[in-house]
Amino acid sequence: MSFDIDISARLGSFDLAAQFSTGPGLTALFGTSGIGKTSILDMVAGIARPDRGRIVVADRVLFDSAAGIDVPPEARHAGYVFQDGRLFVHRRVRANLLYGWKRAAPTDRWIGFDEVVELLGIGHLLDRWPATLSGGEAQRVAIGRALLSGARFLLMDEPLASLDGPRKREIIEVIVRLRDELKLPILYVSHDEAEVAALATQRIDLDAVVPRVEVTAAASWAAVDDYFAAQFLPLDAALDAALAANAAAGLPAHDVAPNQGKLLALLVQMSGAKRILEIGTLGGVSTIWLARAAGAEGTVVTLEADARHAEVARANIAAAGLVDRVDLRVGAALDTLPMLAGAAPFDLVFIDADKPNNPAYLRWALQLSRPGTVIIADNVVRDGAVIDAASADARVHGVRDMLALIAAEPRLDATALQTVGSKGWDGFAIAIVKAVPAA
Amino acid sequence: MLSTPETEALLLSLKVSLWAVAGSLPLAFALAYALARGRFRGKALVEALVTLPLVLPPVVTGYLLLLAFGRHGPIGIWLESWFGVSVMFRWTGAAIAAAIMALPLMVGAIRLSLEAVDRRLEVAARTLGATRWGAFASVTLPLALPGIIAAAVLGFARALGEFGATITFVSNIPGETQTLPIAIYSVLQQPGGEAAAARLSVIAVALSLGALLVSQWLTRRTHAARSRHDVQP
Repeated sequence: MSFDIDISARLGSFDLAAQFSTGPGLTALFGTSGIGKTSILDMVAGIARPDRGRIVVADRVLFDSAAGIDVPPEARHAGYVFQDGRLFVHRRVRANLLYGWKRAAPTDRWIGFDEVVELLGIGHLLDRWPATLSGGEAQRVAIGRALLSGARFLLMDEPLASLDGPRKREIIEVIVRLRDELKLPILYVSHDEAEVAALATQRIDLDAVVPRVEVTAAASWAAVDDYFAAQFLPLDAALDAALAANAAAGLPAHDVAPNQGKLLALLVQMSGAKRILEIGTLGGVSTIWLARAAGAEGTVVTLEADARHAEVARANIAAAGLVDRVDLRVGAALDTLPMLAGAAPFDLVFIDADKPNNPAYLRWALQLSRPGTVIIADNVVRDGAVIDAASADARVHGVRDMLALIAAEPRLDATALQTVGSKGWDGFAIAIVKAVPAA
Repeated sequence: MLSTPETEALLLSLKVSLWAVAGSLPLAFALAYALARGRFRGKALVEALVTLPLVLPPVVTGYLLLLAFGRHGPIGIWLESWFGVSVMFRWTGAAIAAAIMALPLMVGAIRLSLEAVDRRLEVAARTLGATRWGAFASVTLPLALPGIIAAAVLGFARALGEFGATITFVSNIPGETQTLPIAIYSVLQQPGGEAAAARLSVIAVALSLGALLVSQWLTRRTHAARSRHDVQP
């Protein structure tokens, strides 16, 4: 999570309550003027104080009313680019740029003066006074000043609002480079649709209809999931028991959400799959969905590396009365997969195990398939981290390599979808195996 | 051109005024800052008290100083017992009277220059790593500085002209408390003193006019600095 924010504050005549979590990239806070967008930025920067709540940026707690944490603004490493630039009028451009740099600890100076000047194209402005700069020039200097202060994230408050068309495009290009080349998390306030469309990796709409503002990305996703679940998913004692057992056994809470489990079941029925392979059983919740959908004559072969997980799953499957349809094999999937040739071909393969091995699992899925087999791979968005080619996370690379394999594989026809819901922001890839004549 | 007593009065006036301004500038700045930035109970009262010497008859101000700093006054007793000094009938007393009279003008001018500084710049400085004090010292202070100097010059001019409170408080002692205005008053009391009065008056006018011009120039410069469109390096 880049920005993890849950704050409330009384601002004059209205209450601001904001709760959202963002992935990497640029998150746009979208909404009409006067509804507290800037106040949220101010609170993240530490120049305004929420009444209560918690602000975490890139895993660093900046404010936590419960824990009594309130990091002063000068120690937050926020690169705040104000709508009006706010250059120091009594200092030339060079001195403006170096203002924060001089105050930053040497270890916080992750970018050099020359690099910033080059990136923003402001070399010819260094000896000018701020009052002589155009709006676009001033805004570029303001961005440079923020970067040089050792900023670990950027807060941008309608930085394009005072610029005309061509200047706007110039700055948009700069911001895109900050987002994609420097990989800085950016919280960006705007009320301009086109701007947001051009820049935002993720967008959070602030409701302007009532004075009480509720920013509820994650919370409202979960609420909508609850609503859908209430519509389509009757209470299910077996699944509830399985979920409770998993939680009691301390399994990671990666069980599929009810409405997503139902999607698996629907896909099984739509494709008429009878022989199903699941890589990654965990506590068996998805296994139960798959086995039920496969019907009495269906079988699910499910592979689990962790003996303890497998034990919990076995109990859950037994409690759901599905023992005769499920073949649970314990052991590293890369060891158990080669032994499945006898059960192949499978009609549907669900890949939901350790992500770094995804490319290998995909190859095995293909190996054990026939034309028409459906292959589903879960968790391919990872809060948006999937677009980060330079990620330090091996799971992200596992997903990316698998997606590249799918795309390059002539036997596969595929797409991928993002999902939001009670499990946050993620998604899945789905592919069908085609008959390809030998080349 | 000037007689020895006249030169003495002029130099004394300059000394008294300089000390009055130097001594009261920190207090004036603190008051101006509190009035410009502070939100506290009794702000209106503080504001009124600071302005009071401007509207009170100077004789009353001098009399109040006499009561406070006199042998039996609270501040007088304190100065006597702790430092063994008295400001009564001394040039230091003249400086205190001048400082009190100059204070309202200085506080007003400094306050205006502080209020003219865009506070959002200080906020920007905080986000760039400056502490509260660092942001004030590196942004607000330099931007307000011409205004603060202008206020000091204005206070100096006012101190030069101080008469009523001074003569009431520390009397008219040549070489000790007889400042330029008091010297002019004194020579006018004597027959044939017109020429000396005229000479001293010309000096007083020149000093005051010069101070005002400097003050205005500094104030204009402050505003010009905010919109330096035409100044190229």
